Amino acid sequence: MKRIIKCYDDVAAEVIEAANDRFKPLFKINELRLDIFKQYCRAIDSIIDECEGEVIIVEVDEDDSTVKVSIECPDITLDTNKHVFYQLAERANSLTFEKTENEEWVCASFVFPSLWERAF
Amino acid sequence: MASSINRDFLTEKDKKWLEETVESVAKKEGNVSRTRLYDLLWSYLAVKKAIKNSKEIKITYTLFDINENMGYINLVGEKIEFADGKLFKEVGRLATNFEVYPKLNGTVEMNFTFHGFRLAKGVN
Repeated sequence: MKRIIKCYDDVAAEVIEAANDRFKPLFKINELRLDIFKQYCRAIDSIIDECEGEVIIVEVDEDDSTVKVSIECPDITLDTNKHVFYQLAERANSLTFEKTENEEWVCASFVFPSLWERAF
Repeated sequence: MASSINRDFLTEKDKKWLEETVESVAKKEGNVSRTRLYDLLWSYLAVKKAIKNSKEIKITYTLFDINENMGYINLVGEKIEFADGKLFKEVGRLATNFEVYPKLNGTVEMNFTFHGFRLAKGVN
């Protein structure tokens, strides 16, 4: 049975916690931004499911603390102009498409705004 | 014309090119929707504006080569980066569908496809 990877629970949570340990005590997580990011992750889950993707990578930028979420799929096809993919793109700082390292799939990367704010 | 479209990023040269190209194609083709032509041509300019590395990407638009009711915007490059997600969404809203897939030569190819160009007879 194919294991379903959840973007937040299985990937992002650990990455964000590790980043948080590095950024404190100067910065702390903004809980509202985190809640919004969790919504983005649920949307990512639906996209991965629809595109039959298998990989989710989450990275936090050390310089500007933006959060990059990358998904790898055989291809991405959107048959409706109201697809959640577009809503995610609108909320991202940037959106990139390139081939995966093994050159067989497409990697789509969303860079979302930082979850952190100054602690004091 | 689609009045809800964002025209803020268009230069005067862009606006002139848009209007002239829509008229030129409409006159040549006959029963074609000027609104739909505007949608595709505006989207072509929007994609060029939204992409960060546009000089490294081959961006073209094609009208009516597959069938007379369809046009598309095509992008090919090793890395296609949209710095403006709002414009990407707006283009997606106007397009009929979107696809991106890997090619054998290390690039990815992307298409925004537009349907619905032909008017019913007797409609302008």
